[in-house]
Amino acid sequence: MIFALPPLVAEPIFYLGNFTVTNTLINSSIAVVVFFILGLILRNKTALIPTGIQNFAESILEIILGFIDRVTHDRKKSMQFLPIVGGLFLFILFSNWIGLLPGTGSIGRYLIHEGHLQLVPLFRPANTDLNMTLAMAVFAVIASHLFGVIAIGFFRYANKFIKLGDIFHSFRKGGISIMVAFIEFGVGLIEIFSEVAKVVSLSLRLFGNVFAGEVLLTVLASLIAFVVPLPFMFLEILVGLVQAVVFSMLTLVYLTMATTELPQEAHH
Amino acid sequence: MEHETLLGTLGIDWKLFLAQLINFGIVLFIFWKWIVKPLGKTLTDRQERIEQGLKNTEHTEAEKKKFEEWRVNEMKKVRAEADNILRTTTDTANQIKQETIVDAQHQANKILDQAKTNIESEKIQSMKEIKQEVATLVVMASEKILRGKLDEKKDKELISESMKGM
Repeated sequence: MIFALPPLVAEPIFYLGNFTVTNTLINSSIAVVVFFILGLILRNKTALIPTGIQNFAESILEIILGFIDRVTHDRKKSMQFLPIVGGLFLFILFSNWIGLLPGTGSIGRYLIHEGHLQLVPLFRPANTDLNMTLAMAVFAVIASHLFGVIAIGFFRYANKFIKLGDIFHSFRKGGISIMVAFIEFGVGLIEIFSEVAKVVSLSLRLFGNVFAGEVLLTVLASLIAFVVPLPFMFLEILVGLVQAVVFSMLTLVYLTMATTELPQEAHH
Repeated sequence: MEHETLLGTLGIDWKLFLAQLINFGIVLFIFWKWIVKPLGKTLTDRQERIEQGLKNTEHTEAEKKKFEEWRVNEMKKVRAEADNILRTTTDTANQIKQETIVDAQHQANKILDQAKTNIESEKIQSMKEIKQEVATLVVMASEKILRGKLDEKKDKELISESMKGM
């Protein structure tokens, strides 16, 4: 049979009251359950001499921490960012990879969808839903702002965007620095838009890559179901990893940028 | 339905958005609270412990070296002291021996002298006694002879004879 191309919007599977449960929500809930079980196992594994799963978890944490260290150059900051960056990375990676398991996209219910009866898959990779990626992007950007405010104080952080403080300082100096300050004020306003752009680019990049991969696999599987899709499967494993790395790395960069103070007087 | 708008086309629905956000939040919370926190603490603890252990080892090593030095020094000192004691002891012993020998010699000489004087005086004493005895004997003998009829000449002869023999 011909597989239907996955639509852009996640398909509803069933309804809880007037709340729609989509197939991507099912997948992200699976991730929640898996992380919950993993957390329960690892919760009390704090032996000084690690064994088994603790060893594994520790090695992964150390690798992630090493990556974060290379950006922040500060172990204390790295430990603060580790939950957010590591959590994003592992959640995205896990969601992408369980989306590649057989059954995703092929097990489903026959439902009336957009006018005609068709197979609606029960599982669909969580990141092929823009709601999911947007939620993470919004979370990441807001977290970076919160960290920034906590790290350098509200007014000094606000001065990164609305540079009234810089204008005030420039009047005391006079001359050309007043003009520079006004230009920088405009740049600061543009920064506000770039924050929105961050959210859009983060969410759309992840969504686009994973969704495209899903479409690609579906198309290939509908053309030749055996062997031929395998290289593309490997490709998707790689894409899943790369996108997880990109998303978490960018978040890390945002966090680091937000928590470092701009050199205030350096360019005056 | 809001399918007509751009957000609707992309499937953005605030309820689903919130649901996904909550799902992600739970994952993040679990990861933070149950995995990163305890394991991070364990990692830090272990690192501190290893550092402490290494420091301790270094410290012990240094202490050991110091102790070894101290021990060698002390041994040298003790040996020197022992040598000293031995030497003084030998010296003292020798001195005492010498003194004892000299003393003994002295004592012996003294005793010998004493004995000699004693013998001398005893000899003189006995000589005296003997002389007396002899004189008595002579007188008795002369009386006996005189009683046995003797002439004056013979008597004189006898006396001188006996005197000569003394």
